[in-house]
Parts: sequence; C-alpha cells; structure tokens
Amino acid sequence: MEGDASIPAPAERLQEFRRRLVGVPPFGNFQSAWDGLAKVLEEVEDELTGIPKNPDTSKEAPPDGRMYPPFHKREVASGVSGVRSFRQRKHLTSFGENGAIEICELDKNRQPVLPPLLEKAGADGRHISDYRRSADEQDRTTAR
Amino acid sequence: MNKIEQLRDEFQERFPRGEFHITAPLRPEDQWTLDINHDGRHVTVDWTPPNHFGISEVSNESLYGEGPDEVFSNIDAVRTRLQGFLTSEQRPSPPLPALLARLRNERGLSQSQLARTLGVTQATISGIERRKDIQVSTLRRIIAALGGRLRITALFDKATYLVVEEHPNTSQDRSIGKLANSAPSRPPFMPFSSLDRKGELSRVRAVSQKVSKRGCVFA
Repeated sequence: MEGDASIPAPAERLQEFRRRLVGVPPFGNFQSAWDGLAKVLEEVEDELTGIPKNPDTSKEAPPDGRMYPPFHKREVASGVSGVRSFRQRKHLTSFGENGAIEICELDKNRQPVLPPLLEKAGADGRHISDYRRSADEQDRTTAR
Repeated sequence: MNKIEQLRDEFQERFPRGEFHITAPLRPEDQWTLDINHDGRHVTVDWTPPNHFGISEVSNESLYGEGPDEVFSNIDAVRTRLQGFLTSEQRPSPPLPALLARLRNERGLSQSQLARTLGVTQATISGIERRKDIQVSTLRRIIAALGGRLRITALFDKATYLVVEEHPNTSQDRSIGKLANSAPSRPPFMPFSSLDRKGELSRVRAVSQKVSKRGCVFA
C-alpha cells in the first residue's frame, strides 16, 4: 500500500469484501464459490491493507492483521444436504452445491447470528437459507 | 478419549462454572475446536491430531479467518497456558504486530489517530504493525499511548529477570535485577528522615560539600 492512507478498520474491510462478493456474478458450484470468495477477499486485503499474504496454506495463518478465507481442515457438519460449512474463530462460512455463500458471526454458544453478515445466491437463485428451509420441511414431513 | 476431550474433562472439573463445548470436524483427522466460556471470556482451543494445538481469544476484534493467537505442540504447555488464562488477566497473545493492531482497534483508534498521539506519521504506525522487530522505546511509547505499561522479563532455567518495567506515572524504563520466585523485587524505599536518624544524611551532606568545593557537578 502506498502513501499515508490508514488501513481501514476490520469492520470496514469486511463490508468492502461483502460489497464486492455480492457484486460478482453468481457462482455455479461449491468449488467456484470457494475459489471466488478467496479471490475477492485476497484482492480486498491486498488493496486495503498491503499486508503480505501468508504463503503457507498447509495451516491456518497466524494473526498478521489480514483476513483469510476459510481453512479446508475446519469443515464441520452442516446438518443440511448440499451445504458445506467451515468454522472459523468467530465466523461460520457455508457454501452450497449451487455456488451459494453465507457468512454468519457465531455467538458465544457457537450459534450463527442472524441475519448473516453475507448472503449470496447460487447460479440457480437459491440461498443457503433456502437449503435450510427445505431441510426443515423434509424433517417435518419425515416426522409426520 | 482424544486429547481435546481430555482437556475438556480436566478443565470442566477445575472450572465447574465454565461452559465447555467441542465442535468435531467432519473428518476426525482435521481440526477440532473446544470453546470455553468462563467469567465473561470466550477462549477457543484448536487441536489437529496428533499434536498441533492453538489457543485464541474470541472477541469483537477477531478477524475473519485468522488462525490461533498462540500455537503449541505439547499438551502440557496448553494446560499451563489455559490455566493462566482462566485464572488471571492473562490473555492469548498473537504475534506482536497483530497484537498492536488489535489493541489499537479495540480502542477504536485509527492508525492516523494513534500516530498523532505519538507525534509520528501514519506510515510509521503502519510499518510497525507489519514488521516483527521494534525498538523497546518505541514499543513503550505505543503501549503507553494505548493506556498500558510495558514489562519485559527474561526467563532462564533457574532465574527470571525483570528487564524492563514501566512504572505508573513515570516515563522511564528501569532495569532491575534478579527476581525471587518471579515476583518483582524493588529496592527498598528509604525516606530522608530515616537517613537523618541514622546520621547518614549528615555524611551525605559532608560529602556533597567536599565535592562542591572541588568544583564537581552531580549529573
């Protein structure tokens, strides 16, 4: 980063990341959503912080003032068919098989705080919340 | 029982008022997380088999996707550190540049605002928050501007030395000798009246008069 511009606060950078990710065309599957999120986040952090990206992707990057995409070894059970979720320190990021993305903050009981920080529909227009709703309906039907 | 379950059970017994919860990964060889809520604080312990541990504090300043504040390869070290976090004001410390940025953000200060307080440029603060080396005097000033005091200790096998301790209401570092049982030892404070009673004050006065006659100056 050149000049004397102060590094924006983390909340502002997250907001900018959200704005740009929502703005790109929808992704069509899990892998393109995974790669797309990482690409947009990397661009935002390169532009706004100037902090070099940690090159070691074998483990989570130690805190260096920069935001990082989800780490592949942190996948947890999403409880919803067609959705993969990744736990971070204070966030839960979910990807749909249709390319949908959702990022939620976690409360102290590890429950996602709603509304999500970021919601992006997949190529078919469905959000992660639609997957969840379908799963709930299916559960209710099975219970009957 | 795996290592993270072992830690949970041990600490649950020691801290019955705390809340302990394990999030298992989808694949058991991946990263497990133990969330601990105790006395209003939220600490996480990560474990990737067989021996990779991380400890972090979860706060409003936690950045999206950042890794653990401290990493360990030995469960005993995790036990010791965790015990310290849950029984004292100790907090997990990320690498220094990230710690300084986090402390600044927690206080709602931009780099420019902190720079103005210290009389330096924003670029200086930006540089400090990116590099690992920093002069002790600079670190002391930043910590003071953020409302804290700097203390540096040197640890050896059988001794601990307090290398730098910033005292309240002073702006000087103090180099201090060996600490007994890691507790700071301070030179005894002796008031002038006590010196006078022992007759030492008159001896000091006599010496200073001699020095003065010889044209010496105390620095």
